[in-house]
Amino acid sequence: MNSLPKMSWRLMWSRRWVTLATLLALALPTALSVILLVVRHQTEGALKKDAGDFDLVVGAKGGAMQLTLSSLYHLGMPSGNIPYADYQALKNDERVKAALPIALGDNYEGYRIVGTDPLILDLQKHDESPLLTLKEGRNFTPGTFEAVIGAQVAERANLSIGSTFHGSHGLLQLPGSEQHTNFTYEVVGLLKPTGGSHDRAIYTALDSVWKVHHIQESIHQVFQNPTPLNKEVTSVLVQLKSAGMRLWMADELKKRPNLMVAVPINEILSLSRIYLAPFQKLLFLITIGVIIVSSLVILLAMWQALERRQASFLTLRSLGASRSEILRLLFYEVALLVIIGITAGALLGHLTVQALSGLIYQRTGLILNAWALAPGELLTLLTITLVLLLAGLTPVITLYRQRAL
Amino acid sequence: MPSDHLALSLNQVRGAFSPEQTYHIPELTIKHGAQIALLGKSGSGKSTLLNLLSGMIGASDGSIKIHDQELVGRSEAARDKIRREHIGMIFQTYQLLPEFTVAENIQIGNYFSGQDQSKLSERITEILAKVDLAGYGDRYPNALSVGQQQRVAIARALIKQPAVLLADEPTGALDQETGSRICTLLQTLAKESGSTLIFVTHDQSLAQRFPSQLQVSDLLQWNNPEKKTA
Repeated sequence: MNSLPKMSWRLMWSRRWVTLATLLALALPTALSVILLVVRHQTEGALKKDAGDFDLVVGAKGGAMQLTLSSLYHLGMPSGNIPYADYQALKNDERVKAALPIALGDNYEGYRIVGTDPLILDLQKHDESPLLTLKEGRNFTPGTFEAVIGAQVAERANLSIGSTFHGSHGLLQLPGSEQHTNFTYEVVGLLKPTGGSHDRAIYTALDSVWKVHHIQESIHQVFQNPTPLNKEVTSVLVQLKSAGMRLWMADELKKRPNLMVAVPINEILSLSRIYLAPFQKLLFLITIGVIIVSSLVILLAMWQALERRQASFLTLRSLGASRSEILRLLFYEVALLVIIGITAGALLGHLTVQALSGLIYQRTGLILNAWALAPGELLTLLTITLVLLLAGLTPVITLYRQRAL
Repeated sequence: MPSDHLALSLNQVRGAFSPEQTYHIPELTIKHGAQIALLGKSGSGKSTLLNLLSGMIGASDGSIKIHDQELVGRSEAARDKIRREHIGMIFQTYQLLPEFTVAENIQIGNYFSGQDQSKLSERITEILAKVDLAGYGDRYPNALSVGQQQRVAIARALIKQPAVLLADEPTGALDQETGSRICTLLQTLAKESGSTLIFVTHDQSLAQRFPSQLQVSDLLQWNNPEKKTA
């Protein structure tokens, strides 16, 4: 027992249940702050990541957010379809680098079957990395019922290369929905996880979606309207040769009476402002709450310790300890409690995110990197640490100045 | 060190706890290696005297020298330094630190003395043997009898071989037989280590074992000047 930190540790550990309770009271609120920080940061990052892959989304008249969510994120319902000719016009537009048709209508176990062009596996993001990468197998062939499936689909629907399945009518898995048993899809490719919406999609040839729905509508047509069918798509995802042309082209397309245009990144930023900004405020308030609660905990713990140890301080003084050495002894105790408590809280927060990541992936397809530091996390933890050190030392310094130590 | 060297000297020491409560110690000198019994009833000023001698409180005037080092007029930090280097203290209620083992209590006594920490474990083993507690190093104070606890307190005070040993009613919480053994032990060990022993007690029978006996009321006066030498 030849150093003050060792003595401090022993004094803390001699009342281990009280110490553990104090550490828990410091760790739990800290963990909550960390969880909220990490999840918020990762969620926002994932949303923005997918939104940045395409410059424009073009679809039927309706809401821009609705169009973005249904076409890019496979969430919600699209407002309608647009003529295939509109897709062809976009594809041939000299400003367009790539145009990807999207045709929706069916699902398999809740995962949307997306009719599109095999081009999807050749597309690049703006940083020139591949949009999608095959983990196994090959791309689907146009005109067939071959499918390339996302990572979550493969895992949750238990599909692998060579698996076959039938789609169900509609975009949601509902009991009793019509199964298209006349059309059998075959899995030919598995995608690597992206952490985004592609993990939840089944990509197949545009023709397959038409074929399924052509037959269905043909049957209805016998009894209704004998007008020939036009090919349609739900939306078109557009990559431009220059991102600077976004707004110009968007303005131009908006003038067309049958089209709706959305700039995905703008829609997601609006979403952030509307939904995530209040969350950010809540996060700030929770962090303040954490600091207040934890400060009270450490303040009370130190007051109790000081009251309990008056006799010990007198003994130490009689042994030759100076008042400043006793102050240092108590400082080490506060520092140990705060640093261990905050560190444990941070670890617990990340561990909790790790534990929840499976559930979040199941529900949303979002892959959380539980151990990535969120922006501002270190600063938040440092701020909490400093405030708690101050709170813990306040009774100590008060008594020291009153010469009661 | 010459045997007539002074371990303690006090001269015209004055101080006050309040304007109504002032004290005066005219003169007191104690030779190195002496063993003194200090008798006094409750309220006579024993604690004040011990606190002055140990530097726990400072006097406002006069001279208090411990081992030739002046305490009066010195800062608290300087008095703490003199106490840690030259004074060992033993209390009626032992005042062991319950969170630490016997060996650790002694180790802490050495730590604050600022002395060399080398071969400390050997010295602790040796001193535990001297107080008849060999093998008790890993036990905690609450596992010891009152007599054993006081022996640990003695070992803790002596580990740094202090020039002056202040024992404030060390037998006050013990039965007569145990108290007598503790008194003998203290006298023996103090003599072995060359420490000057000031033994505060209210027990006349114990006081008579000491070569010199002084009454606290004769030493520390509330405005009654007299001279005492031992």
